Amino acid sequence: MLKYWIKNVLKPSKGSKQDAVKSKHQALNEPINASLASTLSTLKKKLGQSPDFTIRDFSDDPEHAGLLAVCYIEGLIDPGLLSDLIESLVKEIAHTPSDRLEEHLAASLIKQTLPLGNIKRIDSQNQIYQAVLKGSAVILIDGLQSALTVSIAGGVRRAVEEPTSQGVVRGPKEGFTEDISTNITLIRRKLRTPDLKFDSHIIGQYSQTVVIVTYIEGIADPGVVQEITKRLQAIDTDSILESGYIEEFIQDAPLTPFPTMLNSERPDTVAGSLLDGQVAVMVDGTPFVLIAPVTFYNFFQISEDYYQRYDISSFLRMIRLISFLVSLLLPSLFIALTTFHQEMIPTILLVTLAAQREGVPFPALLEALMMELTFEVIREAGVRMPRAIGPAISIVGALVIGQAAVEAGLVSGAMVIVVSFTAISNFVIPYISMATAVRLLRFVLMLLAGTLGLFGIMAGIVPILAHLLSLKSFGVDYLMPYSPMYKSNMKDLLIRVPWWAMKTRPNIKSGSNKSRQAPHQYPTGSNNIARRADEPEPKA
Amino acid sequence: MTELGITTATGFDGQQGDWTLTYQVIIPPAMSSGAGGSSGGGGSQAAVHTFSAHGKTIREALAASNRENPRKLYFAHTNVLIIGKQAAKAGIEEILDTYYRNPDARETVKVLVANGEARDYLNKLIPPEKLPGRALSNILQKNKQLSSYYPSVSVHELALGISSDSGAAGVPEVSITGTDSSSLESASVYQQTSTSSKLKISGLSVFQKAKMVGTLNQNESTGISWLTNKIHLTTISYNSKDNTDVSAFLVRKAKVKVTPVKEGLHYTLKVKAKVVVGEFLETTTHEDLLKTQSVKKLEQQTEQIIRSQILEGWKAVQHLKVDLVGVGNKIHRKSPKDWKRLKEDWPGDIANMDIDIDVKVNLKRPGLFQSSFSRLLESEDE
Repeated sequence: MLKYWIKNVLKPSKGSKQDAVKSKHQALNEPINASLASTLSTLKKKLGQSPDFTIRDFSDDPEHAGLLAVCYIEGLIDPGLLSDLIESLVKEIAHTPSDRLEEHLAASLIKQTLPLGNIKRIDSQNQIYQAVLKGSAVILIDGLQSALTVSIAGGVRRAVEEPTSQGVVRGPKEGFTEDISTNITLIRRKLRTPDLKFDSHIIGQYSQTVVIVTYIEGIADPGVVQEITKRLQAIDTDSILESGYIEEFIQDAPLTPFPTMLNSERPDTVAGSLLDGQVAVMVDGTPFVLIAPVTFYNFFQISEDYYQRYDISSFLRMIRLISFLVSLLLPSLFIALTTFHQEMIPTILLVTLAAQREGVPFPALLEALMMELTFEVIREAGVRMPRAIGPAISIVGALVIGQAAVEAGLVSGAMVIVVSFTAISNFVIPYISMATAVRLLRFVLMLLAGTLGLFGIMAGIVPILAHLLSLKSFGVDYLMPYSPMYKSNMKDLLIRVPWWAMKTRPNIKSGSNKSRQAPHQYPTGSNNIARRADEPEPKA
Repeated sequence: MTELGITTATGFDGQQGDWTLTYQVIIPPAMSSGAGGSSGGGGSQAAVHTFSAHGKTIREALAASNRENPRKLYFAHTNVLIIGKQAAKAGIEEILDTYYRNPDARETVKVLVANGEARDYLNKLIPPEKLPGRALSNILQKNKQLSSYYPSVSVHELALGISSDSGAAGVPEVSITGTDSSSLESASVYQQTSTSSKLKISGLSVFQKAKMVGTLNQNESTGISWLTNKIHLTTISYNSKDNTDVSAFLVRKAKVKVTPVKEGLHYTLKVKAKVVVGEFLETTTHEDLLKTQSVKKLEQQTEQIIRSQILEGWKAVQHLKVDLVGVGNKIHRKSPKDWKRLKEDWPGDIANMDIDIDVKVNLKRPGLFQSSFSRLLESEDE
């Protein structure tokens, strides 16, 4: 019912706007005019107002004026490559007899003169704009109904830096950047195999964003790749500014708080996922790469788990899952117990809690909601605030919300502990998209606990669980491998088994190549080391 | 939560038709701030408050309590239930009924019989503990675990006991000892290092069906603990035969098997007590503990003491004609036909039953010390 309503209200009818975009698009798709002067004037009309659009037409050379022109956008190109290009063009022009055919000129440019790779011939107006806006230089030759594009993309880019949202203690420190070619390189450097495929799509009428589907042929399930490609191709929108746009367009269940795609700004995480048979979707302009299909448990695995010893990794896995439950349930359990089920609290603790609540004017539910909302406000302020005044907020937050509120008798001390522990537990969940799902559901559960007690909490948990069971991410059940049960996939969930025991990939997501490594690699220790000549024989 | 009056102890006085209920309610701020006593000063506050209410029935008395008490009484955390002696003698059926009928009271509450009126016991503090109700329940628990003189009985166990075939149960009895007991009613008692008056477990009240019929002393009660296999840890001290040495013996693990054996038309009680792990705690004996013989001797002395404890308990039960040991249940289970015949005169028959006691003591650990100090000093003299 609700779903139906939301679908009808939120999904706009295919409106006139998209049609308008389409017709405009078609109008631009006309062939290039053979006359250089007329082409240039169209270009100038279209892009000339922008101060960064430059046309170099060599008009200062009277002999060859009007023969050819180069146009590009200044900020998008590499100045070094541009000067190489101009230099060779100038030479070519100087050697060109005036009666030479345009066709020969173009061929000579492509075959001999230009010192650059990636030269293409294009023949529509629209392609000129696209090439120019992508950072290519377009060479227009008078009398020719096509143009040459030379990719000299460059300009200012952020360097590869440490990821800010997904840090590790041990492991590679490089993170993705906003530039997609850099990101491709970062993955290529980890997986040097021709089977690593990058399928490129361009999405967004205005943004013309490059979206790349990455997978390892043979390991990834071709069906999943096909499905992702299909969904990507179905997107018809004016712009994709971040991978979040894509996620919302192609995810399986649009009406769930739980993420069905994972995002990472770590190349090692993406490489690991590709090796598990998952598929990555990279979007130009953002360091966050999407990974699909994912299961619930993927959100509790981080790349560092595989770099540390397996025992501590397994322990941390469990800590994360417990923190997930704490962050979801602790405030509501506290409310339910103190409001309805006092008999479940040990006597001395009950007396202590009662003593703290003596004089607190609000019921436990209101108190908890107040504190949780205050924390959310402080958290949001902390993210949005200029760096320089960050410490001020933390002092105000700690003092005002913590101590002062208790001393003023507005909240009880135990509630401050509950709320802050909940908040800290929330930060333990490694992926923010999962953490935010918990943040929202927590409020629902708190309201249920405050009105119906433990019964209310169960009445909240059961539908959540049922919902999780019904979720799918690109054909993979969300709670896989616990439901449905796949015993062979459990070696990397609650516990992470040592590498030598991880013989196979998680099989439900992967394609034909299931085996990760040769069997029987258990380290046999010193037995393998040849005994030194002078070492005595071991006693039997 | 702030509207709850958390009750730590409840007292019952009176009889059917006229009940006086006494509640000991925790004052949470006084409890947690530490001002409940030790840190003191004139303004120090007791951690509990006591008040009584009358009514025709128990629940009416509870309802009547709201005339003077602003909070809803909350019984889930009650530690102890004290029944006044008069009420106990008049019968406790109604008390048990309310406990079982209402979900707000727990049957796991410990029961005590007050040697007097329950209301006089509930307004006494037990320094240095802050909550007298909890302190009493802990006293019962620790006594059961560490000395086994008296059992610790919950409402449920009491009800099971008096409704069984044997139809009897023992409930520890608490008394006020010493003089000037009213000094225990003020928080200023926390400022003293010792009090002239104290609450103490003083005996075992014996219930036959719903009525209290008598009281056993500590030795008799220990005998009952043996007969009912409720010995957890107990210390036995004894003199040697010539009264020159004293020793203390710790029973760490004991097993007692009580079986009624039919001899003709008559039943004899066979008691097999076995101390599986015994330890020596102290001694002034001159015996050489390295010799098996002397160890045997000490074991035999201990056996004698245990046998006399058991006998004392049994005699007291026979005297009261109450089946506190649960013999009736055992006979019923063993031969239901005989029980049909016996139950007519039960538990009066118990006075005619013979007992056959067999005690085995196993001294496992002599302690960290071999010969006693007395013996060491003696050998140096030589």
